[in-house]
Amino acid sequence: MNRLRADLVAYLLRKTRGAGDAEDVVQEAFVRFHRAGHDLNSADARPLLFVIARNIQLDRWKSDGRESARRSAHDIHDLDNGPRAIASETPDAETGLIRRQDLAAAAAVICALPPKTRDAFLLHRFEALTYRQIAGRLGVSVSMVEKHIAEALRQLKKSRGD
Amino acid sequence: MLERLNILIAAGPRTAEAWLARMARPGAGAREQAGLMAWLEADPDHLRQYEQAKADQAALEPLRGAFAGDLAALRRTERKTAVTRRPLFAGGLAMAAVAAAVVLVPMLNGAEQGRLYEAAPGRITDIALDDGSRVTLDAGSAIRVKMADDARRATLERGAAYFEVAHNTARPFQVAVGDRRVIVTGTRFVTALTGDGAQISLLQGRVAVGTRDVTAKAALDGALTLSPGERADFQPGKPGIRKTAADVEIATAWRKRRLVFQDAPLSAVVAAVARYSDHPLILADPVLGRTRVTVVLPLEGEDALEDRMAALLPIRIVQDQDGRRLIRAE
Repeated sequence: MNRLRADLVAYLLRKTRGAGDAEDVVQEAFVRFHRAGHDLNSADARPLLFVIARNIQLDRWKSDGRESARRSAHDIHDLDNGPRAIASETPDAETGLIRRQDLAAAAAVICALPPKTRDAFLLHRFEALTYRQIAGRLGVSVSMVEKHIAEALRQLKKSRGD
Repeated sequence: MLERLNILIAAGPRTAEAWLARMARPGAGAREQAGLMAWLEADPDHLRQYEQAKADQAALEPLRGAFAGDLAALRRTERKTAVTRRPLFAGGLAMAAVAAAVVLVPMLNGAEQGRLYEAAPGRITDIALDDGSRVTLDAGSAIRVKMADDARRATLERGAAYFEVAHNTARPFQVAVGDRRVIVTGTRFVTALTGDGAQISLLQGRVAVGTRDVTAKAALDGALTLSPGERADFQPGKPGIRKTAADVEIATAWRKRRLVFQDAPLSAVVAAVARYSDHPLILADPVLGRTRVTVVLPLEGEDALEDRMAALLPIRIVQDQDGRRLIRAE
């Protein structure tokens, strides 16, 4: 945890090529990370924190008007795509929480999945089995389980209301 | 730019959903983290997409009930297919499939045998029996339960089980552990079959440990009576039973998601850890198994329990060609 924090500060300092409010940015990054519902024990914690921290830093530069001097050409180009996502501010208020009809749609999608994909996803999501356990249970490889889960998530994305 | 190039070269997942599935893999480590970070940095919208996919998955929680039937059917089907498919597979493979299955299957195997309840490796499982008694099965453990008019009978097939027996003097409750019978009327106790013996530890009430069935005449003759806080130790199939003070904390520690061993033989530690492992654990040297150790192993953590055991004890684990893990002295 402290190690992660120190790594983050070092990373931000590297990117800025100068001292600054890196500590402050890291603090905010942790707050947003937790608010978005992420888990520090999860394997994706480290990359998410790094990217969230980096985005907060870029946003600060932008509001400070120093951005054009600091950012590389391709970063500026990216800005044309609109404001950067930092982390969902309130994930469950509007966007995160699937509304009732969306839930029904999601249930229909899950039901319509190919049997093995559906079984793998149900065991992953509701039984919290590891891929290894699911693989043993369905008689497929761990990589195949990952493919099934990815496919289920891809189908579910289509059921989203937006 | 560099990040984009890296993504093209690495040929990792390309979408938020694929990344989410990748990061849930058991071995996801530094390589996957670097890949995810490169992907997140490649497009300002990727973070939003990833968080959305994650939130969508979390939002499915209310559907748990809707799929409860499917999940139960899945458990039953799995059990059935594992059994019916058995002749099609080579024996060893079929056994592996059964062992890896996560099953809690009340299954009627003919009235003689009763219902089999199994907890999968790594999964501590609570069971409510028809008579109101409650059983907590340690990971990888199994009991068979047969309810009759004259008596309630359970058999500890393997592992460890904690019993809270609903009071009913007219219908005594009996737990067979090896060739011994634990006869109770209403109580809380723990039974365990370890690598080299069996234990019964009493928390509350009264139990008698004998060799005769509860309905047999003079069933309690020569039986050993335990009071709360006492423990009986014996070797199944061999005469002799020893009464000692039970360390209830230790006997029930697994219910609190940790394993506690105090001056215990390494063989007992390995037998317990094996119940939480996906692979067979084998002591390479029987002498090593007699080494006495004291250790507290949290059941939950990032790495495998066997690796945590190896880190805490003077042992190392080597994998052989058959996927078995051999335990050697360090």
